Amino acid sequence: MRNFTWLFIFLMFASTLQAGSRQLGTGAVMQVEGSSGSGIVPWATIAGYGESDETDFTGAYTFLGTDDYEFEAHGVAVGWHNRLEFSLARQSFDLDTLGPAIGLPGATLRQDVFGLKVRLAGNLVYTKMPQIAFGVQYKKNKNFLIPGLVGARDDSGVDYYISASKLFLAKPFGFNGFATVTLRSTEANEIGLLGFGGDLGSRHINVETSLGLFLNSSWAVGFDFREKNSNLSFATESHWRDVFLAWIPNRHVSVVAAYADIGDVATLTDQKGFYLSINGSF
Amino acid sequence: MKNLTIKSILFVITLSCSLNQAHASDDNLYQALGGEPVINTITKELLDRILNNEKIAFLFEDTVRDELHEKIVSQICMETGGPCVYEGLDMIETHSGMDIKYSEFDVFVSDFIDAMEAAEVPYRLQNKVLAIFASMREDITYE
Ligand code: HEM
Repeated sequence: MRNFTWLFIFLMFASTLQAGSRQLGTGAVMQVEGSSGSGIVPWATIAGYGESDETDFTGAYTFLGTDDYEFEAHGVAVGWHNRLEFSLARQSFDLDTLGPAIGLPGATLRQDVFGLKVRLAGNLVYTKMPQIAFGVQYKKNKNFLIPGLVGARDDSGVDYYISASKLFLAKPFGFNGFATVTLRSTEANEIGLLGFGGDLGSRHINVETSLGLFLNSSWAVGFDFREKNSNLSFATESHWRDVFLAWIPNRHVSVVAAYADIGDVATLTDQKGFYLSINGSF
Repeated sequence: MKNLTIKSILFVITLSCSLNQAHASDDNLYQALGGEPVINTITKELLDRILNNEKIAFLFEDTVRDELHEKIVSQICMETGGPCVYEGLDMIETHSGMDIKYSEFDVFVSDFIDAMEAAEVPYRLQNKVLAIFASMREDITYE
């Protein structure tokens, strides 16, 4: 509940200030690791609506509940001159079922993610070439007991990614479509919640993609896919995917509702559930 | 799942390729918009906004509204495939020296979208019009 109070205050505050001038929707939303993107995939976009002489701030709260887990993320980001993005996200992952089973009721995995992204070339909307960005996510696991027990090697790790994103004006069928392909180099187990590296290996390059369509100026639908790898022999990881519906009534607020399938996580199979993310920007 | 990844990538490539044909299908965009009367309304609504928008109005201090109106109408008409010939200056000539920033361009585009909205242009036609003018950004801005 406390989260929502803060969020409400933030949104009230945000809506009294001016946002940058980029077109509605082009700030994307905050993905689970705090970077600008869609639910689970970082895009080449820079957070907020700032153009080359503007700076925007965004904040988001995200929740995903599956049968056996509850994921939460709080994040803040600054988008500087549509060039650089700094972000910070705190994630928690409640082991509702596993915790009691291993004699640790109330067990929660936690990590902080510091993100930096730089736009290298292109503009999401106006150039023929896609917008291209390079990003880094430094991840620090805050509760290494369980990751250590299941064989993770490190409590911190760095993800590197390169991302290309494009908005297609009037394509397809007069709607504005959008697409992102991101290549990520990572050693993370379950995005870092289970630490980094393990007995089966460490660094991998994974493909992530996000595709969608604006139905009108304030509603968008799409899906995300994120390839994952298994470094820990105690449980295989699944690729993640989701379908989302985003509502972007203005440059200050956006809400994303999604249905996410994160597959098998730490031996518990078939984890699916609803995802909700609320973003504020100014 | 690998399969889906490959399909997604192919989809992106297909989309990128079809982008280059944006102009080919615009022959009847002029008709679809509703021709001259609607373009007139869009332009009136656009000028109402940009000439009063504190973020960009200062650039139009010496503007003679009727002249600009006429030029913009004929340009939209021509670009959407209508029976007009735009006889004004080209976009680089016109806007060079004005030091128009990307943010000012975006403010202009927002006003343009609002103007089309006010003229009751359907969303999908708005996007087709924007697709034509969006590519002019590099000619108009100085960054
Ligand atoms: C796609 C976007 C734009 C289009 C299609 C466009 C079109 C035009 C046209 C047709 C003219 C008249 C040229 C002539 O006199 O022969 C013009 C003039 C002008 N435009 Fe733009 N323009 C665009 C964006 C902008 C932006 C973003 C700004 C500033 C924020 C701007 C500021 C001006 C000014 C100050 C003039 C001179 C008006 C005068 O005659 O006093 N334009 N534009």
